[in-house]
Amino acid sequence: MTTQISHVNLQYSHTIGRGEQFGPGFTYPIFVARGEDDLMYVLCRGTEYRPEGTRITVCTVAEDFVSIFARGVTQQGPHEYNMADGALVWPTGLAIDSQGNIYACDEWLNRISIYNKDGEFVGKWQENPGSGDGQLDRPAGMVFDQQDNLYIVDGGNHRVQKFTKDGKFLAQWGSLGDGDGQFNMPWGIAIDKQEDIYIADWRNDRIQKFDSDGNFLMKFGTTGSGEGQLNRPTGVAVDKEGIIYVADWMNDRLQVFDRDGSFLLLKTGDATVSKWGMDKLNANPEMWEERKRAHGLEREKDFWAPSGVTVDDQGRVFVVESTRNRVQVYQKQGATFLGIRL
Amino acid sequence: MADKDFALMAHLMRRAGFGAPYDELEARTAKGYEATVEELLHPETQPELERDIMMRYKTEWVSQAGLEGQQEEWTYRMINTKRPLEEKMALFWHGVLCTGHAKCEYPKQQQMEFDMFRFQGLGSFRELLQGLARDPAMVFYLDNCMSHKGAINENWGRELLELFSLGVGMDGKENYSEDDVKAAARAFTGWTVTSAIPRYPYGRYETRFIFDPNDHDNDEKTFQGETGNFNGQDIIDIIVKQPGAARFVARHLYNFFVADEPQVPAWKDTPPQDPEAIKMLEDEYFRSDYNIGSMLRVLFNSDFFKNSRFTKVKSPAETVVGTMRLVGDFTTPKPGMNALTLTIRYMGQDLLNPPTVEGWHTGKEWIDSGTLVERINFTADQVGNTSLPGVQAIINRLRAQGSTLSAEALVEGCLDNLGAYDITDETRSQLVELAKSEGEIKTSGPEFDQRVAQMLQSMVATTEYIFA
Amino acid sequence: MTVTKKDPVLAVLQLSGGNDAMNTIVPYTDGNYVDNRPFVRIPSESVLPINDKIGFNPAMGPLKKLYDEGKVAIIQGVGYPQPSRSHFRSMDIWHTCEPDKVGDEGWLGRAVRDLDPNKENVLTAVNFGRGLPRALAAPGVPVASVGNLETYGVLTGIDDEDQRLKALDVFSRVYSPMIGRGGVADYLAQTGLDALKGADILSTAAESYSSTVEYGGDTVGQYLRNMVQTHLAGFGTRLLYTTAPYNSFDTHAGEMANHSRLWTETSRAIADFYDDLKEHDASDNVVLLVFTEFGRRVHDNGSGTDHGSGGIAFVVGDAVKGGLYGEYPSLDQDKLLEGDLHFNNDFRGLYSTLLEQWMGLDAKPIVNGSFEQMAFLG
Repeated sequence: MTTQISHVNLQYSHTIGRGEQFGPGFTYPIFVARGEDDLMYVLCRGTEYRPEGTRITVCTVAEDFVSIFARGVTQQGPHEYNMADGALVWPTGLAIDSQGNIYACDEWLNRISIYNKDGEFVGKWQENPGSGDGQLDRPAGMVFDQQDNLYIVDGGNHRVQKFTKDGKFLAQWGSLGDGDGQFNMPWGIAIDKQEDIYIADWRNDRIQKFDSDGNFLMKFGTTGSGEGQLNRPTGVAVDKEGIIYVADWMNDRLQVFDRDGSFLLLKTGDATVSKWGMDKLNANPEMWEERKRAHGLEREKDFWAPSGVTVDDQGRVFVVESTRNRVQVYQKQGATFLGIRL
Repeated sequence: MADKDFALMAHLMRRAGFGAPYDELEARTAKGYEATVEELLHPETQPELERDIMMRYKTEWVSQAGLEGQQEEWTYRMINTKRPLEEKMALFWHGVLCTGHAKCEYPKQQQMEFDMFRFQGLGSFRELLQGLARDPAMVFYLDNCMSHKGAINENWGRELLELFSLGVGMDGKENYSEDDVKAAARAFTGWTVTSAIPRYPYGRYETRFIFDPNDHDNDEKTFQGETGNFNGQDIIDIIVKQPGAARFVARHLYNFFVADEPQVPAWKDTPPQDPEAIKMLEDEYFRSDYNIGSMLRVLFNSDFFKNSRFTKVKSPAETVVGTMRLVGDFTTPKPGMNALTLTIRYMGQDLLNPPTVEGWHTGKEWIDSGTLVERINFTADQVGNTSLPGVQAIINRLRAQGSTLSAEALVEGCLDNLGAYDITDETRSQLVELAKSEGEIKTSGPEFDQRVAQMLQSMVATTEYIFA
Repeated sequence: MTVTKKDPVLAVLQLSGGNDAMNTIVPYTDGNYVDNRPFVRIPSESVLPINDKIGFNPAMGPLKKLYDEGKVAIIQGVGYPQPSRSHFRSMDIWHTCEPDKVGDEGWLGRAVRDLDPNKENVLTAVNFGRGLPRALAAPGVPVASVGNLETYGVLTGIDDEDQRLKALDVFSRVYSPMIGRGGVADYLAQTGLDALKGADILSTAAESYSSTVEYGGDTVGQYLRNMVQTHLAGFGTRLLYTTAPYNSFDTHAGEMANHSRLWTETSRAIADFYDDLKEHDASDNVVLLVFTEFGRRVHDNGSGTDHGSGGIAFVVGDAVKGGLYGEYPSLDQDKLLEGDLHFNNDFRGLYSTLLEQWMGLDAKPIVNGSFEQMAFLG
């Protein structure tokens, strides 16, 4: 074994969640945003056939259930959609402004809905589908900068748009393609301390980095399953030291890259039974027995199509798996010595 | 009246696929009938669906964990596939080699079975049965995992013979004995699945087929007159050699692709309606080493197929999917899939969840007063929706015929656009009367849209439209 | 016993999803209940007591009132051997009376066959809700399935009424000539005209109905009202069926609020149903069965309860001798069946009672065997 020094290491901490249509639990969670006081806002995509599962679940990093808000709505028929204020059909991204208001985008309604920190609906940007300045086509990731301007990944238009928090259009960049500064159905977004922007360029299997004016700075990642290669990256996050985390969706893993985009390490998942999961198993004790007998239970540890990644100021990394109704939490650690001690 | 080649192509695409809109039918007619048959028989030459995009928008299609979501996914596939026969084969085999959601706690397991039907469904019947015997969904559904050396469970052994390969009998004689059932069940002991991870807290994972040699009955067995130390593989090899297997596959293909036959339990005593057609298919079964695609090549190119227009009642899935292909909706993933797929259930076909291991009863048994109302109301709602692109395309094509249309021309034009439908003279005269009842038919202006929509709605409500 | 010359009618309300028996009829003084339900427990002081052991969920006031009037039989510990915890499978078993194999004939479908062997009445059985529950399905047995009584019919998607009438006119004209020609087209035409006729008849039910009873706006209330409308219209309907939609009783999480809301709506709807029949002097020949596919786990999961076995059913009506039937299953750990309430009352005995003592049918071929009947009728 070779000896190596990595200046970043990730220590698995714990898992949060269980599949549940209401109350403590998630239904196809697609993104998690970190709020104040250890609060987590978990955006549940839900399903059409159980629309009550579409919601935002609020809980703490210690897995205490707080509340839910922003419910899904029943479809009336193949061509009838409920546009009620505050309702969600295909929610995709969340962002929290400096006042703690939660912005949720909906890629079916092409609408931004705004809730205060208690989950009350406080406003929306009028639905404005299209490809002109300020118009949206399947908005995906969103992030606020320090001035409370909102960047929105406009997936169907293959671009990024920048707005004031009130929805006034400021700027946009990008078009369909695989050149520098071009995108193919981009999804996740992150912003660093210098206000540089990172985009998960989903169908180009790469991450691109821009300055706040949209000037291309760098890119990394190519199609594949090797180290540093990507297969439909969904989410990107960047911590205060500039370390970049990528949810590598179809490779079922989390990859970590250095500031310059060089590969550092990857994680394939370490899930354990969550607190809520423990309650569930204790209520169904024969499942403990089934788990003992089960073939390949170790598969339960593995990431399965991670749909988003978020990092907080304390270096905690949250990987959300819509398929498994859970969030795996890692703790970043400083310089770590790996390998055989000399 | 539609061109004969066009009408024949519409027929082929309804049967070998889920129907096609007018412009696709025109393009295929230009390409030619036999060339289209070859393309259909070689789905690998056409692109696959872009599953990454499907999964991005329909998040639950990644883990395939819910019945309703999987009904949506399959319906979406049937609407949008560029490989219509591949998807049609999955529907065909699902109706013959049945597993049901009621006894399958993880729908992905059924999707994996359908993938086998997609990719092997046009290949060798022997290979398909070998795959089926090792398919975890089937092993669980028919309790072969509960069948042990010295304590057999006959469920799989029996259904394999009765419903999956031979049928109870043919030409008035039985195709197998009770001893054959027991011998088959014994030969499949030890063919089992891994213990499942329970559903809580994070959801299911796939189980896998395993062979447990310690639980396998190694003693001598006599099956279909042959004696040996048979295992499951040998049983299937013996089955597929039987004339009963050829008859079984031929009649099923005929019933699904050509014309409604009596239900399976009647096959022992009720001869095929077209014995020569069945004989052609049986011969090809043996000639091609049990190849389903080869049998279908014979079938699609035969006169009995070409002369079988509108002799089959459309299944609910064919009705809903065909209507969507016609009106051009759900061409990308979008909300509303659930409401759409529920209509298939309401019409009597709960995909992934057939009523029993016998599958759905087909033909006129699809229709009762409740399901008929669902069928008519659904199709009428869709073809009457002038905002849908396929309906717009029909209106525009008819509009391009001139500034006014005769009532007869409106009726003929709508029939052509529905796929060269044939109707009785009585129905035709009623529809012409309807077309005349609101005066001259001017193609300019939005009133024309409404008149076309009204005509299409009346047409899809006819008894003729129930057939494919 | 009330002597009635009217034909007996059976109405069925299916509570889909698995109703939590323990929070419906609550064993509020049992220490095991407190121990097993740290989060999902009805406080003993709010229970509506039946006796010193069990009582109604506080949301069930209207049903409790009917119980006190002697109109409600509570069927305790109802289930079947080797219970399945799958919604689909367990509901199938309740529908087909086939616990060992997958059956395709519903018990009420078979009952329709006995009630109307010559298929003289297209409305002998009417289901409210879209699609047909397997309980009512049997090959060759026509059953009307009504999504919404007020708007039920053929080609209802055509908004313009003139256009729709014109289309319906064409419809009957193109279907009629097929009759008598034999073959499948004949059958289809007959079915189409039956559908049209059934819709025409049913459309009169809502028109001729008036009542002072105001039902809630929820689906169960609306469908129970539709049942009363259909019954009052005198179509000769003998079986009425509806389902609380969307597996709503599947309270895995947030059970306290959800289950309470469900029973507030459902017990109000049942009482409205009864009052409405009473108001129209039509309550003497209707009995309502309320059932669910299984009960839930004895132990809660922190927020709700998961699939279990051993359930509660209700039979409501003037003809019912109110009271408790069967035994409330023990909550003692060693009496449980894999952590669930142990059934002591086979649902096929409940069905047999209704079929023989109420409908006057031979139950044995319908429920596939002989099962001990109960004495809640007459």
